[in-house]
Amino acid sequence: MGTFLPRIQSVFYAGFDLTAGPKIICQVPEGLITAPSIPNSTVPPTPSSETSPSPSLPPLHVTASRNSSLSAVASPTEFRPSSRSFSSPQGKRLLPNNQAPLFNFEEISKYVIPGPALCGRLVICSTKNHRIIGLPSQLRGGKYQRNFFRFNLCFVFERTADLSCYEPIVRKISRVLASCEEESGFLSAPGNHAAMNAIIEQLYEDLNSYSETSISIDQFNSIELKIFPFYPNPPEVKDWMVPIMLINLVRRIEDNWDLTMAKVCRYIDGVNHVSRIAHLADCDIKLTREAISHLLYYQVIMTIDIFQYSNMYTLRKSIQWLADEAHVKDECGPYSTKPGFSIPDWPKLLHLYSRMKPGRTVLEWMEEYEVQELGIDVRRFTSFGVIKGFLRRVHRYPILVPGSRSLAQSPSDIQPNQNRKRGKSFTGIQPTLLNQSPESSPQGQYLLRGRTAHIVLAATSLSSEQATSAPPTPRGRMNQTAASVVEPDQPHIRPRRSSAAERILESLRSRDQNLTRPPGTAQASPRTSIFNADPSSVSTIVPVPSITTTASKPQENIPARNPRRQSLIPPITTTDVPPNSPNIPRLNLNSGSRPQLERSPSAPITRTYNGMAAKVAAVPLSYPMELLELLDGEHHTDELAVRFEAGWPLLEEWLSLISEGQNGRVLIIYR
Amino acid sequence: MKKKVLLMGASGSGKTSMRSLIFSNNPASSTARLGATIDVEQNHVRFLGDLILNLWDCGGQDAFMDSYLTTQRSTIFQHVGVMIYVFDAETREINKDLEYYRDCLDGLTQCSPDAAVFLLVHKMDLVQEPKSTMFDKKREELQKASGDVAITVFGTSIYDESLYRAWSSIVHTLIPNAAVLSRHLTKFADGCSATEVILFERTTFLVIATSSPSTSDANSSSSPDSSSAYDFHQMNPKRYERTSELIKAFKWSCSRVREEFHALEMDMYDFTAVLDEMTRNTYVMVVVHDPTIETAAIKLNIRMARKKFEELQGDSIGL
Repeated sequence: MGTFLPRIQSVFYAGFDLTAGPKIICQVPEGLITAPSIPNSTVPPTPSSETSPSPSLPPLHVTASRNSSLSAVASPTEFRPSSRSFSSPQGKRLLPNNQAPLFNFEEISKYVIPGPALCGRLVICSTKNHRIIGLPSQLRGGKYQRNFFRFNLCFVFERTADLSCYEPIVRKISRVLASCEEESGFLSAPGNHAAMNAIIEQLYEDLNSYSETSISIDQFNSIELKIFPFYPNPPEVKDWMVPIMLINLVRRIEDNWDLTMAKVCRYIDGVNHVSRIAHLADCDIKLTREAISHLLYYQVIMTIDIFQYSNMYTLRKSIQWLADEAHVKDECGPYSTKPGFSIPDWPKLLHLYSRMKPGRTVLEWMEEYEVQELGIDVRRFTSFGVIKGFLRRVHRYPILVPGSRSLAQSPSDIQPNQNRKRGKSFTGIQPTLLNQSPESSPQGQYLLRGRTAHIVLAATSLSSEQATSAPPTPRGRMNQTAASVVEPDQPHIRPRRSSAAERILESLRSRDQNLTRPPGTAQASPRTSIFNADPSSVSTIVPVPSITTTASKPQENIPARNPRRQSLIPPITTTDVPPNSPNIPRLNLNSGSRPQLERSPSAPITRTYNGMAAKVAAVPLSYPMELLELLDGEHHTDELAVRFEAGWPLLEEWLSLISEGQNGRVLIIYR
Repeated sequence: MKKKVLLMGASGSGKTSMRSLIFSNNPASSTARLGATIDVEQNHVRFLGDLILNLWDCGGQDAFMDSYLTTQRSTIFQHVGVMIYVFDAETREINKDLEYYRDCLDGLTQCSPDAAVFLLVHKMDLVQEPKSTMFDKKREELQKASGDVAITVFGTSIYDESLYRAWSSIVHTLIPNAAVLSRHLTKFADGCSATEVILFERTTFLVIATSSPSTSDANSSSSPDSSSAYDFHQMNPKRYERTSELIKAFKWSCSRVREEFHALEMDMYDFTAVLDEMTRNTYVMVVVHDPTIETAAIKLNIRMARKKFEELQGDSIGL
């Protein structure tokens, strides 16, 4: 960020003369603003002592001769040298540098010396080419002839200048001058114009040259000023934010740096989120947040979100022009490609970016487009988009909707259809789906879910890491409501892609038929999380972290899902225990190596989770009670995950538990 | 109905003080605390309910005057109903004042040829020499400076009733059918056997209309000092403005003890007077010299006449 300060073009001190009205008492450089800097004493005598022109002359003439101290030209909006010289018989109009005057004081006099309403407030006004900032003051006092003393010390800049760093300067000057006046009548004393002139000159020179100044006004008062570049306040730092360095901070650490700051800086790597940094750096979380906040203020870091395979991203409008920007095009490839692979060209990368949508997790997207094969480092790929500003994270906001969960059981045959269709469409068919469903409540969910549609790939978090190569296991959304059928279709990204709803429907139906699970039983998984495979995972009873990462292969998933879907239809029955089979692969998976584990900010959590998974025991998963309060649609899953140190799979479990336990449904909003 | 009233004059001549006294009901002493007016201060004063006076109090400093005559010319001088130009009786720059006055008059005649012009020679209380001679001299000067334009000149001061007289006259010109009102007041006076009936505006207590003396012809005389009829009761010619001033001062005292003034009844040795609310926006004062008439009877009459006057007032502002 550029820290150059705009140059002061002129400084002037204006007051209210009881006869002449608002006028400039002194200004530097001289004459830039068309009003002489000399008080009345040197201007030609007022008409009372000279023969005034006959009244038949146009007012302009009369005005001019009467008041040469003010350049009340006929068109004050533009400078006319001729009229100015006319207005001043003395011809005292040669400016020192032969500069043209900037503007006419009359244009702005009502903002420099305004009525009482504007006094005591910072006033910035603009003329055609300039901006003037000042703080008009009005001091009441019996000693003043008209009961008030008005003055204003203003700075003139170019019109496009950013004045934010001068605001405190203007306020301070006004304060100091006002108190000088109150103490000793400094400003209103008759002989002080020379002193004021000196002050203004010094202000003009020093602020322009050194950006600071120290002017003593009299024995007791002085003006001490320093201009600081003005940055806006940084946004609040949250624990789930991931800072990423924009400059090499570590190289700049000096001995006199704050300890926390020095420690924290070393862990800013674009992967660690704030609470993790605090943990790694062994610092208090509040101090860590402060340090990050400071770095944000000085704009040496920026924040992105925690990378998880369960994340969803979408393009922003800015892609329209950013896609053509050279820096984007040239930097993306080298930044995102893993070493040893050839760098894909920009159109290919752009195509990949465009395939990211809300409802499609990173894992799904990876699978579908064989991103792995291209040798693209997905974390860097997505963070590149986020940093450049054309990619945006779509967060999941769970919300607990109270209400009876007794959704009428829709006939299972309808539901599955809906489910299936839903899965497919998620981009367009939902509305129709909604219409179809007899139940209204699930509809709502469907609608919500539909958008996210592809949340699934629940596996994304945790599991995805482990199994980067594994096809994404569908993770259902947490729509609990009994019938909330989940998305189930996520896994079918490919089929979904096909526009033929019927085709998918057919394939799903056929798969369904393969399954023997009765509709009612499958319920367990309804949690919609389409955890891979089994409906069971979700069910309330078994805590089994449904997280999904099933190692599954797509085929496995599909069938697994189907039953789930079906089961989703009917109200969740907690009776069924999902078959273990799906779990087994999961377990296997768990034990598998996790090459990308370190990438996940929730890695540690994952481990825990895996541990749990390993147990597979029917240990009831209890969710923390505080989680309930936070399910108001205002806290997204990253925040909840970091707060409770639970990965998305675990969170999903909890949410489904909650849905069943509390009398309500947990819906997830994507935005 | 809106009427624009321009209040212009040299700086420090007393324009804002006048406004404060008449329209804001502040006592004269409080005007010492007012500051200089920056540029134009606009006020909307509701007068008689339907008439809104749009007062433009224009600051008199040179910079402002110059701008009124040049850049703000049309804004200031268009659509003006009345221009009141205030001169400081004690000014030391009479020529400059006159010049500005002439320029303003030019502007006015150009942009609002139908506007009425009133000139107030203010701060008469400061004048040392005999006031009437000074005033006459001044008036001549102003007549000359105004050329062909019809003007009315008043000498005023905020410390006595003269200001009320001037403003009552001014406001009277803004009420379209004051004549009708006057006629009705006369009839009412006859009905009450009253010597005089005066209609005041409620907030400012400026005289709106009066009944004609019963002995003279029923010509509506709005200007109190032009009544030519023989004044049988030897009433003070300044009684109208004196009443305005006194009642206003009394109202102000009432408000200081947080009471509201409603009505006044005076049963005196030689006359009876009743001051009561007539319509929503007006007060009426009935002065009766017949000793046999009770105040209650007068009040009853007022009550019965109320409706008629309300009707009249609705019509009087005109549509």
